Amino acid sequence: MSKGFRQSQSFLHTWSGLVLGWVLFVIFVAGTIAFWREGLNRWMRPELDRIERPYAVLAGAQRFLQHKAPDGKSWFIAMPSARSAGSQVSWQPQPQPGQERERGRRGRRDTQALIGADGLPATVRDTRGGEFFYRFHFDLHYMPVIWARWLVGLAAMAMLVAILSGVVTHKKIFRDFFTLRRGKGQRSWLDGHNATAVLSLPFHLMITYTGLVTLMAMLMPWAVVANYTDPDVLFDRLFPSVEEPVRSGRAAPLVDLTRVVRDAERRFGAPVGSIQVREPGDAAALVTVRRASSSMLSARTPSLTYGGVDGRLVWQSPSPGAASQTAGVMVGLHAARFADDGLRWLYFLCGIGGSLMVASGLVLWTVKRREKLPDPARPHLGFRIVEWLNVAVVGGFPFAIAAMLWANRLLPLAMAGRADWEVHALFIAWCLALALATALRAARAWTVLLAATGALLAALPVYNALATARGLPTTLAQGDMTLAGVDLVLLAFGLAFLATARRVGSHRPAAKPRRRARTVREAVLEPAE
Amino acid sequence: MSVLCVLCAVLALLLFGLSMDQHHSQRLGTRLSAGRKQALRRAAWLAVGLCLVLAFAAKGAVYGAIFWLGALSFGAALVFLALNLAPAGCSIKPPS
Repeated sequence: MSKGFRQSQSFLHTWSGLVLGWVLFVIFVAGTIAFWREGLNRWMRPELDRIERPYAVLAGAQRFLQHKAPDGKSWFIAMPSARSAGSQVSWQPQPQPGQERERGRRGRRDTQALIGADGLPATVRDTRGGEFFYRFHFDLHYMPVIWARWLVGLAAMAMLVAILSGVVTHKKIFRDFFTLRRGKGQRSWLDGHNATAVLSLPFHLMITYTGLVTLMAMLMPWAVVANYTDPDVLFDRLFPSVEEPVRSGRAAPLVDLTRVVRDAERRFGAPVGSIQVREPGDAAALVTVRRASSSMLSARTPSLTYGGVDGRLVWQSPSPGAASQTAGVMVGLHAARFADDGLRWLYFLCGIGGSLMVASGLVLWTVKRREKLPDPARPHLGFRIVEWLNVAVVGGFPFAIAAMLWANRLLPLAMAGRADWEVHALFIAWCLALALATALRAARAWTVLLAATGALLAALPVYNALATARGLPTTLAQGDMTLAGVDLVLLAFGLAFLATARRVGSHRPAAKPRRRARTVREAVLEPAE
Repeated sequence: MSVLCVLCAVLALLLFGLSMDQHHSQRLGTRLSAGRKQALRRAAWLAVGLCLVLAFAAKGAVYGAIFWLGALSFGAALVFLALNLAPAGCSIKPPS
């Protein structure tokens, strides 16, 4: 009975892991990178100085919007901090009568600007920065968002199934906690797979489960459908906000936003994340200030609304209900916006562990089956497809990311649609990796891709030091650890990829006779699943 | 305090690692007796508990638990790499 159970779990683990494993790997890698999206936002815009005086930048943002959209419908200002890449501001013009309300985010580039550290609008290269990895993590790319989220949701469910069935399948993970038998082919891969899984098992469970929670309203809408017929009512319940002001037509100057923000920070006892102004320049103007999500665990942050002319507090968000609070905390746990640098590093390292777990699981599928092939020189089509995809995804995706970072540095600054082309560069490089995987022998393709990725990544900090004003020597001297950190991590990853490529390149599959001459010790360790 | 907490986690996992027959004989050069194994395990659990206390003291009630699990994972990864990849201090004894 127990054997049957374990075998069924093993089957489940193998196939739930394989079928969506490639999507999972991509999601895991992008999500892991997204923990540093603020750092990458800055790294990918080397023109911007670090923000030293956030309030001066905020005042600059207000001056800019006052000039640009004095009677707009609304303004939005992301509160600048030492971590952020400038201050992102956007505005919505008054809707023309008869004109339909504009939908969608993509068409709004012309109503956005970036305020630099000096409080003036900055001219920076057009890039999506670290935001790309954040969106890609759940929206993927080149496909409608709703399909992407379903795919990601399915992958996350498969992941949860794979983790739970994996604990049953690899029954020895706890007994063999620190075991890594090196240079033993399948055994070593299995040990590596188990180690990356079990060493941060709490993280894997947490991140997968909370990841599902972020998509829960889409994956399991029934509770919502049963209780709310009008989605707007639900939205108001979940994200309570003050009533929309009606424009009075009497002009009145807007209150000094820095004063409002200082007051809000005193009331929150925590930093502010964003400021929204509705009907600026009118007597009915309202200013809504939201608490920074970096300051609390729950992602559903409270907000305060002030009169836009006198700066008096007129409304505050009610304290959230238990269910909303729970969901907020889970989303917060997932996205780790609350995390300070130490905790963020732990998240990042666990994310790397998770990526390695998925990657080693995928490779293990082929390692395990290669020996059983009737003719290893000419495997059947299914095996070859898995091997191609492994090379193209596990080897190819990091390569594609390296190519994208280079595109960020090298594409001409005046190029039309530059930000999109950075992303296209990623996918072009990825297609190249797939072509390489099908054209070369697997071992060769692995070596080439890993080495190319390593060289590209390790060369980036060198290029930065030579060609930009923000190379490692400068950032380290200035104590700007965010930018220096990105460069150092790139360097470390580049060297790690090169070292791995070397290992793979010099690897010779064990000859048959040696296999038979197993030592006694090895025989004692019966191969677990 | 956070640093202390992480160190404590590394210590805990190191003790767990050394309470395994293979790693013990490889790193310390002696065979592991049953009593010693139990003592190591107990000390390891004690360190896990101390790590929890330190995590709560360092990060407060909300983030303490997260930091505790994170620190333990980090300790586990570090000890895993150290025990398996660091050059062996004592030669591996062939099992009799």
